[in-house]
Amino acid sequence: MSDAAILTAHQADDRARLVTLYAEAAAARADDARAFFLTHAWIFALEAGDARADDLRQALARMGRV
Amino acid sequence: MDDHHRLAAVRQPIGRANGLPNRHYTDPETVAAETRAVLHGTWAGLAVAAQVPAPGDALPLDFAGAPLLLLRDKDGQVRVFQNVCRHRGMILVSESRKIEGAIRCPYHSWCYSTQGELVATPHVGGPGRNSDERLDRSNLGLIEVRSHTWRDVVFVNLDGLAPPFAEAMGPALARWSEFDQPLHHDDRSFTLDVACNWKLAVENYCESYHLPWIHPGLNSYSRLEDHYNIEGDGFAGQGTWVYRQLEEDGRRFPDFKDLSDKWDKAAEYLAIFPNVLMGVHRDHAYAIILASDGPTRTLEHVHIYYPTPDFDAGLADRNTAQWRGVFEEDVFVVEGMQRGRAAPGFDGGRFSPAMDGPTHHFHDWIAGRLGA
Repeated sequence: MSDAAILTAHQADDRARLVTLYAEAAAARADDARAFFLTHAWIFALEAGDARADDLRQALARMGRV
Repeated sequence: MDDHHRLAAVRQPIGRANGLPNRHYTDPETVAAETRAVLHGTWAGLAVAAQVPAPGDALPLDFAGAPLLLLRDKDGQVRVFQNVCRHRGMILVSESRKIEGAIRCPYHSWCYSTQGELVATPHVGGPGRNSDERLDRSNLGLIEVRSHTWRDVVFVNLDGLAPPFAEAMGPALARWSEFDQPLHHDDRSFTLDVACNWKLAVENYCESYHLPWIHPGLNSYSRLEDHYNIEGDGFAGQGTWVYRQLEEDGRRFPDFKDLSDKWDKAAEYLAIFPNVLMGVHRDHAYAIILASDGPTRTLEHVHIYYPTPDFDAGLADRNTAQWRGVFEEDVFVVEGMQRGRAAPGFDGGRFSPAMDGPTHHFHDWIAGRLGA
């Protein structure tokens, strides 16, 4: 994941790609930073009706973040 | 004479009554107060359900100055919400689109289900913390506006204080109960942008008095004496005894089912107060939503319906063109009456006791809503 890739996905309003990239960013981090990126992945999945939304929410729930 | 006395004059018997004062067509402050009483305080037409045909379809609409969101939820139910986020009042949906999952506010990304529930509040408790015990999400769903769909028209009661729809509109529902049948929307809908106050469109629609002068084509087969006036609780209009079906090479639209004999030749045209104009015929129906855009502009959204989904395209083209022509013939009249409301000495005008009963009935209803 790179900042450039995320910006490109934002510019293209490519929500599926945003979910992927933010989830990857979360996986590479821990604690608050991980929760931050998981949150973004979850929100874009929620908006898009993406099937990954439930798993992302559960990951946040395990961290006590929802 | 102050407004109260002028409104009292509107409520006089028709032979003595004046029409509504000029300021109800021209003055922003008067029209704003009237809007609250008449458009926000009753069951008013917002749109038609066919504009959101599939689950997730969302259409933002301005309703007499209020930002609303027409939405078909994931279970197929048509709902109307205030189109604002409960967080900072941001407009949620700015253009017609499909909600695939949740409605995400474009500002801080609070998310709502299509049923209005607040389902996510990202970072609300700090970065990566998506809840805050001091904030009860369960009370922060979208504000739903009372709505009811009748004849595909989505009516809303913005202030929430009107009687239930079936009670408020009971007499109109009863009058046309034979037409409580499936309606199939024709995508040939169209909009007329008219430089007049919305009430003038209602006033003109109610009466048949103008037909021979403004609609000579209609009058060639449906003469003035073939019409009758209609006045009811919450509606007014006219009917004809000589409706003539469109026909082309022996083809006609099929009829609505099991109509009584009256409708073999009759057709009726009702203004459903305040702002919906409807027509029913044995083989088609229509609804016109009058969308007020300030004191002197009205958008007339015209939707035509047929009894079956597989209606004849060629006939539908002709039918749409015919109605469009009729409604366009009325434009110079309502715009002319609007310009006439700038005359300082105009007293609201008078009514023909024989011919203008439905129009006076509407004026009387408006004046009553305003407390006269």
